[in-house]
Amino acid sequence: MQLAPGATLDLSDYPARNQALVKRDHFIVSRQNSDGDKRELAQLREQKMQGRVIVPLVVREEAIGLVEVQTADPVHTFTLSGVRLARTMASQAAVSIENARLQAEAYKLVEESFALQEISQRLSQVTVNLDAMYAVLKSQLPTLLKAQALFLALYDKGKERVTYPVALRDGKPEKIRAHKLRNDLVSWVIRNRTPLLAGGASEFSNIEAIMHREGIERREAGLVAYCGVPIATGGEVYGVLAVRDFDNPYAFNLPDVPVLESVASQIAATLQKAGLLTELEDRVQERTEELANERDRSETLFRITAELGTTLDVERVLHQALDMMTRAVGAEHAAILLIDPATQEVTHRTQLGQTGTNGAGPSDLEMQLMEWITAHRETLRIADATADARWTVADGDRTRAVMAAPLLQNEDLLGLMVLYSTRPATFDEAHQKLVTAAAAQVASAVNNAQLYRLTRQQAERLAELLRREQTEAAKSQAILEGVADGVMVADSQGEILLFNSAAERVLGLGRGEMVGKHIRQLAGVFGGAAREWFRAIEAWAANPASVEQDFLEQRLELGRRFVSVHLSPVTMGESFLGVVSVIRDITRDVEVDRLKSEFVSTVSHELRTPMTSIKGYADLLLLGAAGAVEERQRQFLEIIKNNADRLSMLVNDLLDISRIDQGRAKLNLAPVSVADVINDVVKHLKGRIEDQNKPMRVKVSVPGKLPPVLADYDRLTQIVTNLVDNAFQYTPAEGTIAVTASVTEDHIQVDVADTGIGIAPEHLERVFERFYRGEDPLVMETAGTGLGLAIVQNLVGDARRQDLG
Amino acid sequence: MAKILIAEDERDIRDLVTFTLQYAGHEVYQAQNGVEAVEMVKKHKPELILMDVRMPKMTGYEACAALKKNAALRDIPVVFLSAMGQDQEVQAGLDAGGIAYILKPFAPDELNRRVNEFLEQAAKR
Repeated sequence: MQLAPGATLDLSDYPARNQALVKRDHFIVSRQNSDGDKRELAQLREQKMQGRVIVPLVVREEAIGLVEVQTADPVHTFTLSGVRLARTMASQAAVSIENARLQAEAYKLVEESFALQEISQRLSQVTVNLDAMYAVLKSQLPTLLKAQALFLALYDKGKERVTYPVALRDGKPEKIRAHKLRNDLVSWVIRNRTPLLAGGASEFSNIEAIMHREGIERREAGLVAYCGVPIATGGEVYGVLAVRDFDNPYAFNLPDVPVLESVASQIAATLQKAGLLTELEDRVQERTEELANERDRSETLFRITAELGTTLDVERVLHQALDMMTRAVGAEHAAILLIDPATQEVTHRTQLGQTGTNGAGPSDLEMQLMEWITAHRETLRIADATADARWTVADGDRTRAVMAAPLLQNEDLLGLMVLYSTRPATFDEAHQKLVTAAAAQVASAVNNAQLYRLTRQQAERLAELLRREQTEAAKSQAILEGVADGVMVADSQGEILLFNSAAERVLGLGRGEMVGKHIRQLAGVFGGAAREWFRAIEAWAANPASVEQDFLEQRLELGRRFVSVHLSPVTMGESFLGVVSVIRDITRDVEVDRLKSEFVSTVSHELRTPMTSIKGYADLLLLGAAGAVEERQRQFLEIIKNNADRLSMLVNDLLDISRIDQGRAKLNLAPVSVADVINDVVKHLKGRIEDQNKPMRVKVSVPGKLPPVLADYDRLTQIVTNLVDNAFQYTPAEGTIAVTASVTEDHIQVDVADTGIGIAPEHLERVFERFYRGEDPLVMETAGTGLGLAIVQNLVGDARRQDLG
Repeated sequence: MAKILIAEDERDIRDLVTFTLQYAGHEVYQAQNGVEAVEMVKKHKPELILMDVRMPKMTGYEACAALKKNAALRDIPVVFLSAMGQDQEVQAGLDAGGIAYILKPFAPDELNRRVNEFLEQAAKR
């Protein structure tokens, strides 16, 4: 039988051959056996052959083909041995064929495994770089799959999108457009996650039939064979690896599926790795961005902090802070508003860019923000101020997004930092955090600057005060230097602070050896006097409240010179500051006093001596010691005596005045009974009344129990005597003199009243003047020196001074 | 009746005192200065001495002080009789040992009265 190589026979047309294959036994067709296979017989006749033997090629109980042997000899048809031979040969052929086939198959498997290994190796090397993976696939897949066309489709689950990073046709790159998941072969594989093998002639494997059965739309003209496997791992489908053929419907067989799947699983593993890495990378990148933002914010904050820290110039500080903040958060303009702590007035302190207010003061919006911040004390972020009825955006102000942060120092709201943008929702939460943090820094800086300004003002005020005080001190010093009297100033501890040039001269001590010394050290120079000074200072320091009018006066004898020292305490309120001593050279005064005293002493002695004789002898004559005296002689002798008494009184008064002037009327203070004093004086008065034969009523009114007073008995007696004498002298006979004592507060008051001529009001002012007696004839008639009341006044004055001392 | 010495340089006053005391019945010795006064005292041992202060040769103070140094004479009371009436002058007299200081001018009867007082005091001792 003549058959073209590759020709196909339908076994149903050849029952004999079919039988040989099925029965795996030889079949003999002979023209002599006419009931055989008709077609076989016809072929024998046509070929002028007598018979043929059909021998199956059997390998491992399976018929894999047929061998036909035919003969033209009509006599020598097939013998049993001949058939055996044919069968032996056939089995030899069958084994050979099988061997050859197995060898080819083995070879192919080896080849495939090499390619797979190569792909696997390469893919594992490329790891995360998808482009490198695609390159490997492009170079290796054609070798492995020997397909006319192949592609790698990737499926993006999120976007439901299919892309074709690798696509080849006839060894050249093919461009396949990306598409959404749809009704095509690729999408089917993705959806079903199972391989799809289509091609061949049978109604089961035929591509048209499969597409029809699965409801898949045809997308590519001429496609006759298709094998696609899902690229999947762990339930995740990454895409499809597919091979196609447009010529040979039998291009792909079942064994191709595991090969594809093997490659696909490699790809899946790589993709998964790449995906994880990409995800990781994405995350890393995301986090890096976050960190960068964070870093930017921190840096901005740090820069603000650093800038704020370096200067106390609040204007510069605020301007810099605003500048950095606007750049950091992408604002277009900004402002800082401060609340005046004294007036609570809100003012623009600094602004950057156009805020729509032109610095005319806070806008309505700003006042609203301030109100909100005052109430809430937290950062406010407004996405769009124009979309919120709470906020008033002025016409022409293009402000949309606003961020306002309180400037808080402890509990005090110092002001507001506001950032504006003309784009809505410019600011995010991160910006808000940054502004809040920056506002805290700004508040601290504002506070620092305000404190610094206050401190500086305070310092300036103090400096001014100090300057003034220094000027004053210099003036005082100049004045103290200039005064003629010596001045020594010591502090509350007794340390000498000032010692002027007059003091140097008077005391004969250089200020260099005095200033800084303790006043106690003067004891070496001034003896006990200096110790008294120190005792006085100690007493004043111990009780500063009671020293207001206190002083210490001393006279020092320095060789032939006399120096008076007057110490006064200096107090301010309750505190004792020190002591001022005025030192005066009184040598000349003392000398003058001495001369005056000598003069008075001499004069009084020289006056009294002749008066003693005049008065004495006149008295003797009057006593009748020199014989009887006629009435007229007696009269004249009385005149001599009275005038001698008058002169004597004058001398006594002069001596008193002189004594008082010299300050020698040292009071001898002791508890004194005023009643005793009055009794003495009244006794003396009564003596005078009797002596002069001038009758008077004397009224004495002294309470029974008068407390004793501190006084000098003799001086007190002299005072009351002078007053009573005046009363006696200027009251006519039969008049009344009243002496009254009464207790008033802590004093005893003694009043002397008479019914005499009195003192005219115009003379009242002058009654204490020395030698003044007025011009009343009644007064002039009476003997008197005009010194009595002057002495009283001086004595009372002395007593007052010494009482205070 | 007592022996009284009057030491006084001014004759008029010396005589006035002498006369006044004699008029009262006393025996009076006269001295013209301090030196003389001390001598007279030693000589006559008077019961009372009236002593002027300002005198030539020796003042009343000095004479008084001298007398007070003499154990035999220190008990004779000395009364100063002076025209010098300043406090320190009076005090100087008392310091010198005088029992009193009578200021000139004086009334003769008053002098007598005081002298009698002094004599009574001296007698009591």
